[in-house]
Amino acid sequence: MNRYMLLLWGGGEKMGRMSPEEIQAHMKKWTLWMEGLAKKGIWDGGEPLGSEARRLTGARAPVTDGPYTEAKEAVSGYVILKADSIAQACEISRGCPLFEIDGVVEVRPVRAM
Amino acid sequence: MADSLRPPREVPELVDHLFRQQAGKMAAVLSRILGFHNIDTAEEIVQDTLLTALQVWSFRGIPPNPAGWLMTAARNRAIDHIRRERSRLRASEDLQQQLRSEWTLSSTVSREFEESRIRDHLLRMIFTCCDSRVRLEDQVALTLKFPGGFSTGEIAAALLCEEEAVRKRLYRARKRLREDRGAFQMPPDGELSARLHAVLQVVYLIFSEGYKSAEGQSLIRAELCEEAIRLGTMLAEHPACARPPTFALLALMFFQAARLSARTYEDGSICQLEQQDRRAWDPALIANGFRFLDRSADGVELTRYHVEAAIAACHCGAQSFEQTDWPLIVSLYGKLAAIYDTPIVRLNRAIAVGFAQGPRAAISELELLQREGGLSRYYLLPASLGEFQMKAGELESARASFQAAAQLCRSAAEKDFLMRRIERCAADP
Repeated sequence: MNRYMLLLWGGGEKMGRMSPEEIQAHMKKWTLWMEGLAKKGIWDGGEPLGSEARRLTGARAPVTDGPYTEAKEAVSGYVILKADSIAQACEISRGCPLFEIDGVVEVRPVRAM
Repeated sequence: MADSLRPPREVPELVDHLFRQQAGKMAAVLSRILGFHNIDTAEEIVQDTLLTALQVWSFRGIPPNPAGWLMTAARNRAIDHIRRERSRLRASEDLQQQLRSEWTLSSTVSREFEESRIRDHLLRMIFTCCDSRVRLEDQVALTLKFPGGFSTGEIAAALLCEEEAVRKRLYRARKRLREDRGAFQMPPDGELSARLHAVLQVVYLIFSEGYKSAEGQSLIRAELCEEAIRLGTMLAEHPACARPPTFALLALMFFQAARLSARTYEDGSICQLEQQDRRAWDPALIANGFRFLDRSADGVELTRYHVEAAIAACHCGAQSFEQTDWPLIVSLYGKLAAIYDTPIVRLNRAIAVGFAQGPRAAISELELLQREGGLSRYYLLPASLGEFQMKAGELESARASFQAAAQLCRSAAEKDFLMRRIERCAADP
């Protein structure tokens, strides 16, 4: 099995307008999706990322404050999956609730060697 | 990181409406600390807290104490915010000094987030929203928004109005309250009773909005009933508001809510009291109703809620429609009219008279009401008249009454019901 990283982009704009009730309903979809991956044994890690960001452009360059992209374009987290092929990883990604809030999933292979 | 290797496990269920209810609580505590004039900031902190929970819980699972997690996260955000804005922040006056100093900032904020205080903050928030200087319809919207945690869109859907109208109401109400920095206070003892009545009125309005027959949006409207009962329970559990009128209103709402689902058939059409399956009435809610009715029987004050709860209790206690104590209901409506005289109360009394004394008695009372003209736009008057005319065998008049009612009613379910009534008048020999 190969490993693939799903980069979760965007969704922030729509999320910002959700009511507490909608946030709760949306979260249920995420926990179900994530638990589903774990139950199938293909979950191999993942973390949510905060919106704060700093950027360094050189060893001595000053640290600049982010975020650098609009919140709607920022990466909000990543998931690592085990799959046979990138096509299969994409297929699995179709179930991601991020699409309901107009986000984008980028699938990248984790290099084995 | 070993931690991120997520072991498979069952997804724990969150309590229904947890986020909505916690949003109301967080807003109440934050506006206590920051002052009601900073309610926008409070809202931003609440939204940020909920979105962080969404993100973190999605990855790491739901924590063992979700409500506590949210309160702690909101508290930390509040401390960060105050620290960042320290020099220009104009928070609640009595806390201002303590929030300015790093020595006391964290403990001051944490203290206001203590469970025992949250209850007080919520109550203060409700009293603030039900301020008589704010229009009544705006009070309803504001109460749903702040202690309630409903969004503008949800309020609009629940009250069957445009989102823009709700936005305007909220804007107007918030502006009015922001100007008044002393607003976020409990009324002094001398005023409490009068102010409590204003709060009860808003709670009952919220309930009644939800109780009105639904128009394809029954879910959100049933949530209004639920929310009103939650607010009423909160009041009943607080020493300052645990008084007979509060118990009476709560009893009334429990009795009505018990019958909520039996009022419509599965397809959403209306089921009259006479045809309702009484086994579908919720016995737990009815028991709650009687419990609070007992507690309301203390003291000398007789409010409309007392009498209305007593009427609802008659229905809930009756084994069948036929065994209903109609003469008692007629006399209770008489009592109600003595303290709360509205055309609707008289309409209900006339209907009860019909069941106690026969259709002819009801017809003459209803015709009298019609001549008085107070309910000329209300479809239930001709609809009820039609029912009794039908019972009395006056099918021609009944048909005309139902037609008049259909002209007046706006809900599809009700219109549909009346059309079937009209057909029946024509079909019967």
